[in-house]
Amino acid sequence: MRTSLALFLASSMLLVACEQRPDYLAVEDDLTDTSWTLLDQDSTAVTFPADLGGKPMLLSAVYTNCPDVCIMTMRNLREVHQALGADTANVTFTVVSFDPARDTPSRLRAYADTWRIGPGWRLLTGDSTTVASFMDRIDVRYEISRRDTLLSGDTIYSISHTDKALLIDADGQVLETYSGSASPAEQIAGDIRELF
Amino acid sequence: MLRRSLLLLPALLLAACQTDTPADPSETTEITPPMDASSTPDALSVSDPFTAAVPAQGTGGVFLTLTGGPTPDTLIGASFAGAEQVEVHETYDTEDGLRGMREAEGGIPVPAASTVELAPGGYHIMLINLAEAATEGDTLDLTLEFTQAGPLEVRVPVLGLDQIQRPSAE
Repeated sequence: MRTSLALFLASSMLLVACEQRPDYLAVEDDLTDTSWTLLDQDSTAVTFPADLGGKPMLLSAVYTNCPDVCIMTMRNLREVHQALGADTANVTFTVVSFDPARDTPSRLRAYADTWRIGPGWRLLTGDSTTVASFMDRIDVRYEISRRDTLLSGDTIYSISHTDKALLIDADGQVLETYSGSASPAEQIAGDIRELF
Repeated sequence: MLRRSLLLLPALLLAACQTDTPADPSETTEITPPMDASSTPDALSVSDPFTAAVPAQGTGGVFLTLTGGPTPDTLIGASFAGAEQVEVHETYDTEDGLRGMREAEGGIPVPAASTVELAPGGYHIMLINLAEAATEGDTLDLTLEFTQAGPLEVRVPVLGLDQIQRPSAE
């Protein structure tokens, strides 16, 4: 009897929780059954999304040699992080590079230190095939738009890319898509709070 | 979903209006109209420069505001001893919705007695392959090159991620 009552109450609470989620945070995509093995800024293997599940996630894609759109995306995510205050402990901030040739784990670590981002952040890279598969799945497009050789002989290139951030719930379902660099941080933080 | 649509609307409109030919600077960069004759500056000037912290061997972007003097001018280049290459850049949107960077063909025009903002999402000065890290609290000494005003020295503070401001046009 007690068990039945507990199950009934738990179901009711879940139902209420579901009903409280705003209509606009409907499921856009489901990454639950996907799996990619990536490396974080400490060279630790991370299986996405399994190893990052259990919490809502704000995900974006950048490359570190982009000092304009991508730096504004990082700034925006940082502002969301700050807006959430103590609630940041309940959110995973994930940034995946679509320039794995240059954005090695050690490079991502250097940027994590420079940007002073904390342990709650995962900066991810991987082999080019895995990264391409991942970006294709989340509909982030990227292509080399310019290649040049410096006097030193080093080759440089720029990448044109999608400017996007995704809100993913604790189950791996994509609920909302934003402009990574331009969507208001307060609004993104508000959407995340709807998932608690 | 409606909110998402509304959020994406400006980007879609922008993408629909732009091609990957040189962008109209007025769409990405704030240019204020000429001042009245009584307040026209005597010379071109630079204000509010900043760049974000970058590790060594990284790429930096310098942002600032240019105020035109009594005659039109053009920012055609820049130099910085700590970078292997320096370019005057613009961010652009392609027809299919990607965002990229490229050299600003012909430089950045600075109309007489007007201000031109080099801000994220528009014009910037690209510092390629920095020899040393640009650390928060540092300053970088750049030289800007104009067709009329010639070289102009500018000290650029290095800001942390939290200190970067959104473009005023947003």
